[in-house]
Amino acid sequence: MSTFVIGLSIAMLLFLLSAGLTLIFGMLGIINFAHGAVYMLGAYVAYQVAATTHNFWLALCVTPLVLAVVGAIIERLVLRPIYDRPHEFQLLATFGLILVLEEAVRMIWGLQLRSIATPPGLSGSVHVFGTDISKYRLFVVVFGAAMVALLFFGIERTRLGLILRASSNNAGMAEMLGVEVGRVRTAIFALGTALAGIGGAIAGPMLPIQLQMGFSVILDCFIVIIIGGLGNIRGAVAGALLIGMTRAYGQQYAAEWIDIATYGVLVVTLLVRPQGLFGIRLRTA
Amino acid sequence: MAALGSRSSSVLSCQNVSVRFGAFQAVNNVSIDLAAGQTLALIGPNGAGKTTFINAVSGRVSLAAGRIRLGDADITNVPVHRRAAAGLGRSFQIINIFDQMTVLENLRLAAQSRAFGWQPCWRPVSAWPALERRAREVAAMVGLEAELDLPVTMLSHGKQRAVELGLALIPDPKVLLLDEPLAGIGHSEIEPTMELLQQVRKGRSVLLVEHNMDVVDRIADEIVVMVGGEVLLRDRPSAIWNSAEVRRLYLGSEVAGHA
Amino acid sequence: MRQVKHSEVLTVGVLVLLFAAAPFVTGDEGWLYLAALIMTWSIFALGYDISFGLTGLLSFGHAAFFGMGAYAASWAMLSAGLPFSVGIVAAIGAGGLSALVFGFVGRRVSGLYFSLMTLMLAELISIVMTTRLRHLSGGVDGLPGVPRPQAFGIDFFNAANFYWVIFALFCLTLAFCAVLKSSPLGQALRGVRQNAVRSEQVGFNVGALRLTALTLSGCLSGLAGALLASLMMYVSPQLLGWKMSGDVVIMTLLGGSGTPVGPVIGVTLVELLREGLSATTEHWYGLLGVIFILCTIYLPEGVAGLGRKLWRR
Repeated sequence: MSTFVIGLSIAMLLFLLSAGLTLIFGMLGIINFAHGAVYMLGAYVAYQVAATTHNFWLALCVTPLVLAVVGAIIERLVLRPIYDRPHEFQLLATFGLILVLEEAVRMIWGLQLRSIATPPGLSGSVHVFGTDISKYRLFVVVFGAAMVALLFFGIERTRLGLILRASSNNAGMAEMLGVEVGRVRTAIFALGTALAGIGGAIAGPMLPIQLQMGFSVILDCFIVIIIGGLGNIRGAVAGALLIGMTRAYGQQYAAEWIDIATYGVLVVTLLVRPQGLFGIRLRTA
Repeated sequence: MAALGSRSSSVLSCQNVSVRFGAFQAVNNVSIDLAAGQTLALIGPNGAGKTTFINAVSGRVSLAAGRIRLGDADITNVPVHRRAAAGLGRSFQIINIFDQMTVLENLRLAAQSRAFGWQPCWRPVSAWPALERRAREVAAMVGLEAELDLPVTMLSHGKQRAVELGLALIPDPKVLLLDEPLAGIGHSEIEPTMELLQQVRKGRSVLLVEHNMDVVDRIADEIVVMVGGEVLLRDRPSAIWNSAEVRRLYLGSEVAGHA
Repeated sequence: MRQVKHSEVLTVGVLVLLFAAAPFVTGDEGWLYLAALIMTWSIFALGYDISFGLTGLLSFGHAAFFGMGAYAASWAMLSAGLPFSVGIVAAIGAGGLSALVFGFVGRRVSGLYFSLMTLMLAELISIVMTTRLRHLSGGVDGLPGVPRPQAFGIDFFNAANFYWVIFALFCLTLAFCAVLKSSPLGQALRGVRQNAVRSEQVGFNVGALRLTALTLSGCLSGLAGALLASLMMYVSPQLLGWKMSGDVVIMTLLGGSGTPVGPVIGVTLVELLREGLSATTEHWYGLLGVIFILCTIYLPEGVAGLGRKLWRR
C-alpha cells in the first residue's frame, strides 16, 4: 500500500511536468528540452523562499509565479523568433537554455545539495490498512489529483481553454477572429513553466535539490509523453501513472532493473504502437 | 456496362475497395476496372472519396476491405515503392516535388530509382548518361527543356505541375493516376496542359480525378461518378451529361450548362 | 551554384592544409592534442551529418554509436589483444550495428518521435553499460589504458605520430562524405529528406534508405569513438551520455549541416570556444549556452551558411 502511494506521488510529479511539456508541444509545436532545467530552477526558487520565510505554503504559491515570469521572458526572447523554423532549431535553442539555466543556478546557489523541510503537519506518517504512509506523499497525491482536475476543466470547459485550442489549431484564423496569438503563446509557455515550478516546489521536501535533478526527470517525462502520445493531456495522465508505478514497484522489488524496465516499456510501446498508446497519428512528420 | 467488370484484359482492377478513417467510411465498396489504353475520369463533389480512392490504389492508405490487382499481380498489400516499380505512376493534387533541386535533378532522381544498383556506387550521378538522357526526354515531353537547370521553386505554378507530371512519367508507367492535374493552373495554361494530357494518355491507362468538366469531356473515354464514398454510375461522357441523377447532383454547376 | 561548389572545395582544401601544417608549425603537445581532438570530433560530426544533413533524420542518440565504437575498439585491443587496425574495424562495425538496431526499433516513427526515441534508446544503452555491465565497461570509472597502434616500429604514443593516423582517417572520412553526397545513394537520400512521400512514389524504398543512412552514419560515429578512446587512452560510459549526442548536434548545426565544411567548422568553433572561454571565465558553460541561442536565432544556416552569403556578395 505504501508502495502504491509512492507510485502515485511519483506519477503526480511526472504528470505536472509532462503536462507542461505536452501542453507546450501541443499548442506551440515545440519540444522544450529545457523543461527539466526549469523544474530544477523551480525547486531552487522554492528552496530560497522556504528558507527565507520558513513557510512551505508560501513557497508553493510564489514559485509558480516566479517561474511563469521566467517562462514569459524565455518565450519572448528565445522562442518567438524561431516558431517557423524546423524542429532542430527549437531543440538547439532550448538545449542552449539548459546550459544558461544551469549556469544561473550554479552562480546563485552553488553546487551544494539543498533540501526543503517537510511542512509542519505533513511530517511523519499515517497508519492506514496496516502500513505507514508518509503524510507528505499523501498530500502530493491529493494535490496532484486536484491539478489534473483543474487542468482538464481549464482546457476543456473554459473560454480561455477554447482560445488556447483555437490558436493551436489554426493560428492564422484565430488571429483573424481577434485572438492575439503572440500573447496566447506567451501565456501557454508561462503556464507550462509555472507547472514545472509547482513540480519543483512539491518535489523539494521529497527529493534532494541538486543541479542534476532536472535531467533524470525530464527523460522520464519524455517517456510519459511518448507513451501517452505527444500533445495529449489524457495520455500524459495514463503515461505518468504507468511510469510512476513502474518506478515505485521496481524500486521495491528489483531496484537494479527499474531503469531498464522503464525504458523497456518505452521500446515495446514504440514497436507496437508508434503513435503512442493514446495518440492519434496526427503529427509524426 | 456490366461486362466491363470482369474483363481479364483490364490493367488495373479494384474489387470492393473500402477505406475507413476511424468511424468514417471514406470509400465504400468501390469496384473499378481500368482497361488497357483507357482513360477513366473520376468525378463527384468534394468529399466523395476520389482522392482517398487514388491514395488506396497507390498504396498511401490501407484498405479496410477489397482487393487491388495490377495486371496479373495482386498488389493489395504491396508497399508504395514496389507498386511504383511495378508500373503505377501518380501525380498529386497538391504539388509534390523535390523542392530544393533543379528540374533536371528532380527528373534524374526519379529516373534513378529504377536503375539503382547497376553502377559503381562511387560514381557521381552526373556521370551516368542514361539517367540524364531519360530526364531530358521526359523534360522535352512535358515542355521543360528551357527550364532544366532552374531550381523548381523559381518556376510558375503551371511549370511546377509539368515537373509533377514528369516525375510520374519518368518510369513510363503502364497505369497513371492523375489527381487533379489542373488544380491551381491559370486560365492561359489550361489549353497547353490539356494537350499535354492528351499526349500523355496515349498508349497507357489513365485514372483521372478532375473538376474541370470541359477537360473531362475531351479526355475521358468513360466517367465514373462518385458520391459519399460510393460509385453512383459509370458510363460514356455523353450518357453521363444526360443522366438525370448527375444533373441533380451538379445542378447549377458546369455539367448543367453542358447538356 | 558553381561558385558555391568552388568555395566549398577551397574551404575544405584550406582546412586540410591547416591540419596538415599543424605539426610543422608547433611542437607543443597541447595544441597538437587539441587539433587531433577537433579532427576526431569532425569525423563524428561528418558521420552525424549523413543522418541529419543528408537524410533529414534528427537523431539524439548518436552518443550510443560513438560510445559503442569506443568500447568495441577498447575491448578488441585490451581484452582480446588484437591490433589497432582490427580495433578500428570492430568500432566501425559496432557503431553501424547499434545504428541498425536503432533504425529497426524506430522504423515506423519519424520526425520528433524519432528524435526522442533515439535519445531514449541511447540513454538505455548508457544505463545498461554503466550499471549492469560494469565488468565490461569499467562502470563510472571507465577503462584506462586504451592502446594506440603499434606498427613499423613507430612510436604512436608520441603525440605527433598518432596525429598523422587521425589526420589520415579524417581525410578519408571527408573524401567518403564528398563521394557519398554526389553518388546515386547520396542523391536518393537527399530526395528522402526533401520529400519522403514523393521518393516513395517514384519507387524508392524510403525505409531501407533511411536505415542505410543511419547505419553509415553509425559506422563513422563508431570510428570517431575508437579514435577518441585511443587519443585519450581511456574510455568511460560518459562517451555514451546524452551530452555527447547534444554536442554533436550543436556542432553540426552551428557549423551548418548539409555540407562537408559545415560540421568541421562547427567542431573547430565549439572546441576553440570551449578552450578559450574556460580559460578566461568560470562561467563559460552558461556563456556557451547564450552563444548557441544567439546562433540559432541569427545564423539559421550555420557559420558555413554565413560564409556562403559573404562569398556570393
